[in-house]
Amino acid sequence: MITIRGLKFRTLTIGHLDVPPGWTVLAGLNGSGKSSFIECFTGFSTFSGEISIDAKPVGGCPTGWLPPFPDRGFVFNTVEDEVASPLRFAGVPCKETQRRLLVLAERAGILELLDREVQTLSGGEKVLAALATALATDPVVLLIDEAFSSLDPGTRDRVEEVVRVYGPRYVIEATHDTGRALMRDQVILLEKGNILAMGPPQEVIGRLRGTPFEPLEMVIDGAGL
Amino acid sequence: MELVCNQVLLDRGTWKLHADACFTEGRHLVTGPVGCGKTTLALVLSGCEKPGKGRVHKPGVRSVLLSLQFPEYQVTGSTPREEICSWQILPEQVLKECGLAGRQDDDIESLSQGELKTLHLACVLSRNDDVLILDEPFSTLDPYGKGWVCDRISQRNTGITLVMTHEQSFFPRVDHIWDMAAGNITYVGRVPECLPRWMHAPAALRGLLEQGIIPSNISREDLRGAACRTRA
Repeated sequence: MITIRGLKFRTLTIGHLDVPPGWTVLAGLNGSGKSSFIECFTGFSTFSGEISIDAKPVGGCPTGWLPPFPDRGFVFNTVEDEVASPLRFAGVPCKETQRRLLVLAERAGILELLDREVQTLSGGEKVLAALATALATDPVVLLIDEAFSSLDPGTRDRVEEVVRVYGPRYVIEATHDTGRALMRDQVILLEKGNILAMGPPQEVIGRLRGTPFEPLEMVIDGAGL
Repeated sequence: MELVCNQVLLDRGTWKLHADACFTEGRHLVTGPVGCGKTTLALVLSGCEKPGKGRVHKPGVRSVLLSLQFPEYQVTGSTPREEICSWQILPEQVLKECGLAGRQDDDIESLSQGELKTLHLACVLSRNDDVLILDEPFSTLDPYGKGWVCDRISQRNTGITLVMTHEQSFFPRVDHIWDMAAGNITYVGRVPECLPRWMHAPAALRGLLEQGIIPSNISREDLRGAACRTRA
């Protein structure tokens, strides 16, 4: 369980929140606090309050982070160097790094891309390379901040399948795509830094009927078909 | 007024753009998956990139404006007010429209991605360029922002407007649809007659079409209206 107590960060204010394992979606308008929520887990920001994952402080837990347009964070020229970089930075021996690199690349479906320069990849391939990199250190939680919103539906299905099959125990995804949110395990709805609702997707997204957040499928179903 | 791609070929080694197309006055939706060539086509049509073969003709066109997917590449002002003025439009109306009233002198870098995109789109949509090319105008916007952009595009009744996107939930009212795949562009046809042939139609629209329902256009209101009329 992820437990959050007395959290204050920028506009985000969360008194008490327990997030069970699974794929959790953060929904809300621009500026509602979704990215701030995710940033609290990355280790790059100082917040007040407590966050723990399975009873361990968040600072001591490995996390994988996919920011918006994740390819902008690429540091190395080739896919191989990029995906292997977290392992090399962690001092994992060369042979073990090579073994794990191949496993990660196979899981993400990018084995044939390892020699390619990252800037020559398509949008979907870049996200898959970034995802393999984020999963390199076996994170406890994978953070996805609108990283999939630039993908077309077919590519997005492929990337999400990798997360579903090989992702960690906790996945937290900020997205505006409430249609996709219906397929997740739970949804947290944020408004101006506060939690408006949390629960099963059908229940939370159902509260958004009549607003632009309503998935297109619901717009049509709700019209009576 | 026309924007014509005459046997355009742009070769990028393993990938090629082929375009033979004529965009007439009206709103055109160009859809296709990531990597199919939408952005490259936008760059060629706007004159930012020169094709290796073929030509782009613009008979009757006095001005072309390309809106890039990532607004930070196009922003020149250090505050929202400066940015709006750089587009030679008055700030008050635009600031109000994009929800930045009172923040006109904020550091432009303090805006979120969504706020910056909204500001940029409010600027380009406030002008009256003969050709407006919008590359992925919906990216980083929340659903309210997407709805607002759709309304603004739907209201653009003069000139040639091209909307290049892979968005599947929000669409403006358009006159023509084009499909792109692997660097090739194909004219699907005039809306609504062409909708059954639209390769990249969203699943929800395909559901309607499979039941023999053809909406008058593709905005949310049109789809909802078509579904409601069927129930009645």
